[in-house]
Amino acid sequence: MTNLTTHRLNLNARFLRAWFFVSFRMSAFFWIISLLMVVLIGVSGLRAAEPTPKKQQKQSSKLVEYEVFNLIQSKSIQKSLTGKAGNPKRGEALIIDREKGNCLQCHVIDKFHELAKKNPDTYGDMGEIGPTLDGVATRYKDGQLRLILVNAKLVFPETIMPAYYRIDGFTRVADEYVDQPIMSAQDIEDILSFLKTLK
Amino acid sequence: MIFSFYHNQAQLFKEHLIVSLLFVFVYAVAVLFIFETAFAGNGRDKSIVPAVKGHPLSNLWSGYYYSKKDIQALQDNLGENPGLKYVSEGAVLWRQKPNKTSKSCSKCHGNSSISMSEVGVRYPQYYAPLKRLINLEQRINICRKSYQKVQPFEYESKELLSLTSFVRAQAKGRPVRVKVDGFAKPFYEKGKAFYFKRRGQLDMSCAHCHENNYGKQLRSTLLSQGQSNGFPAYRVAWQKVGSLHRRFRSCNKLVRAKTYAFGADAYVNLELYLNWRGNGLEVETPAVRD
Ligand code: HEC
Ligand code: HEC
Repeated sequence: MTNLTTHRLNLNARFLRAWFFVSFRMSAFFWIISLLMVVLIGVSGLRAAEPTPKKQQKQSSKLVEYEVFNLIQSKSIQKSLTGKAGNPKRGEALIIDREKGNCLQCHVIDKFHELAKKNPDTYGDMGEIGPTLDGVATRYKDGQLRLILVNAKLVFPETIMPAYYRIDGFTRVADEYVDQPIMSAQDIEDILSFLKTLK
Repeated sequence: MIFSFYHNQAQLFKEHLIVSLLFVFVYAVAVLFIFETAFAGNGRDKSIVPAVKGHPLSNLWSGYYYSKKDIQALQDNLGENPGLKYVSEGAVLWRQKPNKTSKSCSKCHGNSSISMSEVGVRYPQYYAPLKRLINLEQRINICRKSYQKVQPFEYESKELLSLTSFVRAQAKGRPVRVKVDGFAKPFYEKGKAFYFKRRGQLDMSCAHCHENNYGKQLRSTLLSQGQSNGFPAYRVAWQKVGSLHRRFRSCNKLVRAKTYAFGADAYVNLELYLNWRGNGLEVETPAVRD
């Protein structure tokens, strides 16, 4: 027993010694690079820790009122926009529908790969711009997912993902879409209930 | 203990070697990682033009490389490229007098392959008499109005598309080289602002698709860098040749934004900025796209 531990210690000590020895002699270069890397990692860490801008959407009388909870880094809309749970079957159809959610334009859902073999027009051609939606229900709580659907920019400020339940703060919206959200409150809840099945 | 490792040279050497190899490995991974991130974004194997310093893209890729093989073949095959019909009709218009009393284009400009060889690479350009930026279509119409004394062609008319295609095709294979300094500077800045502005109900800027996500699949379409070097271009979706401004309008509609009129100042400025983003890419007119 003791034998083993000493042996271990010995190895570690040898390793440490050798490491100092080699790195001192081998390279001032190494130390500079290491230092730089530490600084870089630190800076990017700090960046990531910066809070997201507190710009909140002006709420419009035409949309259902909702409240954004802001708990440290995790924002969410706690209450259902319709007051009820959604319909996952309808949600699934909306996610696929090219005129409505069209989530597949940017996101992949793994189980659709299999379905696409039989039914490519419906399930095929998934985009690769956003992250895969598989497991999204384990990564986020319901309220967070609801907020991402309502206005993803409140969670990811620079994102390409459209805000599905918002009507103001846009530039040059085409006439036929003015003052309309991309989807209704019901649509959002239905999609959400489908996303919750993606564990 | 501390000095014990001086006792055995062989052992020291072994340790030295192992640790050095470890460092080499770590460096190799770091270097690979840096390269990987520096060149991420273009998953293709053939680079066209490395971008100049300060350019938002690291390499410039023509839309050609994001097209399917059969579309590329259609563009390359001189017998089949449907855009060439426009070029040859443009050649006819180039030599034709618009009416009995006025001159033809070739009467003033002579051999198009000489006089027009650089025009397609440098427009849009600042035009002093009007104190504004004009593109090739507008330049052609200015010639019609002031020198031929006839009505300007309508934007996106068959005639204007043909003449524009013909003139720009004279610069085929030459690198785009628009000027964005001097008088052109303010127009360039406006075009740049347009490019990065979110618009429409989907609230996206040009950069969201063509700078941040090129090379990725947008459902069934592969996103390109949205370069302008192939325009006027034949689009299969249009079943005809269309101007760059028509493409702008399509992209505006994609994000459910209000379009601008053909030839609008906003689009001419955007055209200048976009051509600058493609400075160095070869003119491909008439390109073929999906
Ligand atoms: C135009 C592209 C696009 C469309 C359309 C789109 N998304 Fe996204 N989505 C993104 C991107 C990109 C992200 C990653 C966030 C970021 O920008 O960093 C994202 C993130 C998400 C996330 C968080 C995932 C994670 O793991 O962090 C969810 C959930 C989501 N989207 C759901 C949807 C749903 C549901 C729809 C359709 C109603 C949809 N998205 C439509 C681009 C899109
Ligand atoms: C929703 C995503 C999207 C946005 C936003 C968008 N485009 Fe596009 N654009 C496309 C798609 C899809 C195509 C066709 C495939 C390709 O070449 O990328 C395209 C093609 C183009 C082309 C033709 C490229 C070629 O080689 O034929 C140009 C030029 C272009 N876009 C410019 C713009 C400009 C300028 C803007 C902003 C006003 C813009 N796009 C905004 C999706 C978009």
